[in-house]
Amino acid sequence: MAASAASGGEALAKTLFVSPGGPFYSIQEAIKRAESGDTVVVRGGTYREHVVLDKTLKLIGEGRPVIDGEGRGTVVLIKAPRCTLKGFKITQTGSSLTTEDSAILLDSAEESTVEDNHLEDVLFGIYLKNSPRTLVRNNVVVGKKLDMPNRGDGIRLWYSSETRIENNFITQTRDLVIWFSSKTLIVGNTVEKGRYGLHYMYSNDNTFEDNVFRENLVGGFLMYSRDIRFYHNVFAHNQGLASGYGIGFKDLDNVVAEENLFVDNRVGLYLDNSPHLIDSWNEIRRNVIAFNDIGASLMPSIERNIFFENSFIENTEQIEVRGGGTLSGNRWYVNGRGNHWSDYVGYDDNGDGIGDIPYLAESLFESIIDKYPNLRVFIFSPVSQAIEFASKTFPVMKPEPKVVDKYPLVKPIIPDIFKARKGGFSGSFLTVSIILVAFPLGFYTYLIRYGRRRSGYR
Amino acid sequence: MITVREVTKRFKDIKAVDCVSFNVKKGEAVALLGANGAGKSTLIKCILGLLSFEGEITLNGLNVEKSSKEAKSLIGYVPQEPVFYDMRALDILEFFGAIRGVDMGRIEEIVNLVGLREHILKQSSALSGGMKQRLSFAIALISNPPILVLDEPTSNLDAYARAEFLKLIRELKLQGKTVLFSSHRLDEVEFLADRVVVMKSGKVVMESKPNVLAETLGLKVRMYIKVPTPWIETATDILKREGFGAVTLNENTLLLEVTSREKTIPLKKLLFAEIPVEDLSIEEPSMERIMQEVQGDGI
Amino acid sequence: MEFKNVLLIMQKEVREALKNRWFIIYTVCFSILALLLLFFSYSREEILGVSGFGRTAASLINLVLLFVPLVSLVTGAISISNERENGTLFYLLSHPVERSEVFTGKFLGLLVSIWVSICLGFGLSGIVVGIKGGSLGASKYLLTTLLSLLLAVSLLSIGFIVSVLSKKAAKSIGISVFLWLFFLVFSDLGIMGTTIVMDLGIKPVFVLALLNPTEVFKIAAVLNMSPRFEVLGPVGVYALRSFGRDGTFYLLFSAMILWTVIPIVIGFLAFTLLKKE
Repeated sequence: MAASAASGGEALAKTLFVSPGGPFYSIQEAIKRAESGDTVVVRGGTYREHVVLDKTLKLIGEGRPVIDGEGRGTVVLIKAPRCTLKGFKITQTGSSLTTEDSAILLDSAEESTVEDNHLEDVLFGIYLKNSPRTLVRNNVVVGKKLDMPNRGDGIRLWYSSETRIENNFITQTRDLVIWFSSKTLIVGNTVEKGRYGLHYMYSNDNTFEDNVFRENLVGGFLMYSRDIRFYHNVFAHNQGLASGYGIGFKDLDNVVAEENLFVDNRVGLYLDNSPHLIDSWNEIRRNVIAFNDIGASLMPSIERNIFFENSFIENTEQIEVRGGGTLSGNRWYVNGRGNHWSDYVGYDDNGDGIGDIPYLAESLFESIIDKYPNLRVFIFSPVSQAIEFASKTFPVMKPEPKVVDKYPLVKPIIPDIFKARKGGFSGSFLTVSIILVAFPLGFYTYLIRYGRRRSGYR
Repeated sequence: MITVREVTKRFKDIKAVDCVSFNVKKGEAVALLGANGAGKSTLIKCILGLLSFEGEITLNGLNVEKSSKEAKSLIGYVPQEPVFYDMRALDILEFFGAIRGVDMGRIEEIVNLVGLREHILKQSSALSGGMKQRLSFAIALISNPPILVLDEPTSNLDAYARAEFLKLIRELKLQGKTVLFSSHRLDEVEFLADRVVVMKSGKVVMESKPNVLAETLGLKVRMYIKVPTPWIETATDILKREGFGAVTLNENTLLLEVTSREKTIPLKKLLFAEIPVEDLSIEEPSMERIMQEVQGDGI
Repeated sequence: MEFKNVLLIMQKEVREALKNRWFIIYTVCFSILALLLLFFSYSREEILGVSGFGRTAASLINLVLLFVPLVSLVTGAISISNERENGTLFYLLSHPVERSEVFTGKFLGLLVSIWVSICLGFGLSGIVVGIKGGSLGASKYLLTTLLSLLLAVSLLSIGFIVSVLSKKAAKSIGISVFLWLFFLVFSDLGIMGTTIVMDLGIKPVFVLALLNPTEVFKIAAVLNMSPRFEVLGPVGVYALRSFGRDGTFYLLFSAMILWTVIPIVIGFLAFTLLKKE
C-alpha cells in the first residue's frame, strides 16, 4: 500500500494510484485511504464497483478507465464539495426511475467539476442535486436504449444555481433539465434524440447559447420561468408527433431570443400563455425560422410578444393561430423594421430594404386548417391554391389577417454563423438522375427501332 | 369458303341484318348488292368479326367469333374509304405486313404490283384518293390471303385505274382467290362476279348470276334500231305485230324494250321481212334502275 | 394475346407520339419547370446549408400533381376515341389482331411515352442539380419519380375508360378535363365542405382522401419528402399511429396500385367486350 507523498498537513496533498496491477486494485479502496485534497489517479482497466466520493478529492482517469455499474444503482456518487471527476468511462447504471439511477450523482457537492467523462448505457447521466457553482464540461452521455417514458435525463440540475454546462454531447436520453436553478449558463452543447433537448422548470434568470438541439421530440421546452436569454442556438429536425417544437414557451416571461436558427421542425416556435405576467414582454429578434411545417404557432389569446428582424423562410405555414383568430396583440415591427417573409409578394421601390406594402398573413386555406386541423391533410393539394385564388378574387371570402407586418424586410437576415458553404457535387444524386435519363431513353430508342427490317426502300 | 348461316345483327330494336344465309365457294366471286342501309356494310363487319351477332359465320371452317384472329388472317379487306395512320405509306405497309407476319421482301413486290413505287415514301395524308386506294389494296394483298373482301373497291379511282384494278382482281380470282365485294356498278358486277346476292332491309331477297340479274328482276333491255327512212313504218308494224312495244323515235330510229333473252328476236323478224338494219345499239338496264327495283316494293 | 402484335401497336403509338411532337413538348415543359423549381429551392438552401421540406419542395409535388394527371387523362381519353372517330381503329381491327392486343399495345405505348417523358424531366433536372450539388436525398428524389410514374398509369387508365366508352374524341377530351378538375379541386372541396358542415372525424377524412388517386399520390409524396407525418395534421398522426411509418406507405402504395389496376381492368374489359366499331 504505497503513497507517493508523506502524510501530514493538507498542503501536502498526495496522489494515490489505482490500476489492475495495483497498488490499489479498487477505486473505493483508494478513496478510503485518501484524505481531503488528495488526488486519486485511476489507470486504464475495468472496475466493477460503485464509487462513493465522500471527501474532497480529485478523481482522475488516465487511459480512460471504465467504471462498470453492472446494471445496478448509481455508479459514482459524489457527496463532498469541490470534487473533480475526470477522464472516466462509466457504464451500466441501474434502470430504476424511482431511485433515479445515475452514472454520476452529485449530492450537495457544490463547486465540483465533472469533465471529459464518457457515460454509456446510463439511465441518468449527470445529476446535480443541491450542487451549485458546478462545472460540467466536455462529457458525452449516451442513454440506455429504452422507450421514452422509461428514460432518465442526460443532465439534470436540481437547486444547482450558477452552474455551467459546457460542450457536452448528450444523446438518446430524456432531457437536459434545469429545476429551480438560476444564473446557469449552458453553452456549446449538443443534445439529440431525446425528449426535450433543453427543459427549464421554475428556473429564472438563465442563459443558453451556441447549443444544438436536434432530432428531439422538442428542441427546447421552457416552462414557468422568467428572464431567459438565448443566442445562436440551432433547433433542428425536432419532430415530436403532437409537439415537434423547435422551442416551446409555457408561461415564460421576459425572454430575449436572438439569432437562433429554427429549421425543419414541426413548429419553429410554439408560444403557450407567454408572456403570462401582465407587465412582461418577450423579444424575439434576428432569428431564422426556416423549412418548418409551421414557422411560429401561437394561441390567439397571446399578447405582448415582439417579433422583429426575424426571417421566416419557406415554412409551410408561416404563422399558425391555434384554433383560428389573429395575433394583433403582438408587435411585428420595431422602429420601422419588421421581419423577412419568404412569401412576401410586395416590392421595394425606394431600395431601403423595407417592402413598400405591408405583409399580411391572410391565407384563407390556412385560416380554415387552423380552425379545422383535420383538413391539414389537403395541404399542398391544388385545392389549397384554388381556395387562395378564390379568396383573392372574391374579397368577401378574405379572412382577417393573422399578422400585419407594416415594414417587411425584403431580404432575409442570416447571421454569419448560420451561413453555409455551397452545396457540392452530389454523386448519388447524379447517378440516380443519369439512370433516370439513360435507361428510359435506351428503352425508348430500342422500341422505336425494334423490328425495323430492311424492306428495300431504306 | 365463306359460310354465312342465319346471321342476325340487332342494333337495339332494329335488325340491321336479318337471318341472312349464303355461301361463297372457293374461287368464287360474289357481289353484294343493295341500297344504303340494306345491311351490306354491317354484314361485312360481321364477317370481319368486328361486331358480335347471332348465327354463325365461318371462313374456311373457322368461326369468325371464336377464332377471330385466324379467320381475319384469311381475309384481305379493302374498305370503301381507306383511313390510315399519319405515317409514310411504307411504314404503314410495314406495320400491317408485320402484323400479318409477312416477309419484308414481299413489300417491294406488292408495291410494284399496285404501282405505288413513286409514292411509297410519302406521308399517307399526302396521297391522292387513288393512291390511298392502291395502298389499301397493297395492304389487303400483302399476306396473299385466300379471301378478298372489298367494299366498293373502285369508288375512288379514275376510269383507267379502275380498269387496271378490275383486271387485277379478276386475275386474282382466276388464281383461285375467293372474292366478296359490294359495288354499285353493274359493269363491275358483270365483269367480276359469278353470283350476286341482293340485300334489302337486312334480308337477302335474291341470288342470281349477274348476267341474268336484270332479267330476274324483270328489267328490260332497250334496243335502238336504225332502218332506212322508207322502211320505218313497216318495221314498226312488223314488230308490233310480233308483240314488241316498238315506238318510232324519228324518221329512221325505233326503240323497243325487250327482256335480255329476247334481244335477237326483233332482229331476226326484221331480217326475215327483208328490212335492212343499218345500225343497232343496246342499252342494258342501268344500276340505278336495278337499285330502284331492289329498293322498291316490286320484288 | 400475341406479344409481337402488342409490341407492334405499342411501337406505332410511341412513334406517333414522337411524330406528333406532344411527347417532345411535354418532356421539354416538364423538364424546364422541374429544373426551375429545383434550382430555386437550392438557391434558398445555400443561404442556410440546411434543407427542409419547404414550400418549394411542395411546389415540385404540386407541379407533378397538375401536369401529370392532365396529360395522362387527356392522352388516355383521346387514345381510342380518336382512332374510333377517324376510322383507323376499325381498319386496324379488320386485320388479324385481337381487341385485347390493340388495347394493351395502345396502353403500353402511351404509357411508355409518358413515362419516358417524366423520367427525362426528373432525370435532366436531376443531373443539373447533381452537378451543382444539393442536399435533397437521391432516394427521395427517386421515390418521388416512381410515385409520379404510378400517378401517370393511374390517370392514363382512367382516361382509357373514358376513351373506350365514348365515340367522339371531343367528348372524351371534355370529360377528361372535367375529371382532372374533379380530382384536383372539386372532390377535395367537397370533402372540406362536408367536414366543416358535418364535423367529420379524422378517419372519414382520411378514407375519403384515399378515394382520390391524386390525393393518394400527394400524401405519399409529401410523406416521402417530409419525415414528419404531422405535416398533414391530425390525419397524418392518425395514419402513423394506426399503421406505423412503413404501414402507411404500404397502405398508400396499395391504394395507388388499386387506383391503377382497377381502371385498367375496367377499361380492358369494356374495350374487349363492347364491340362498338
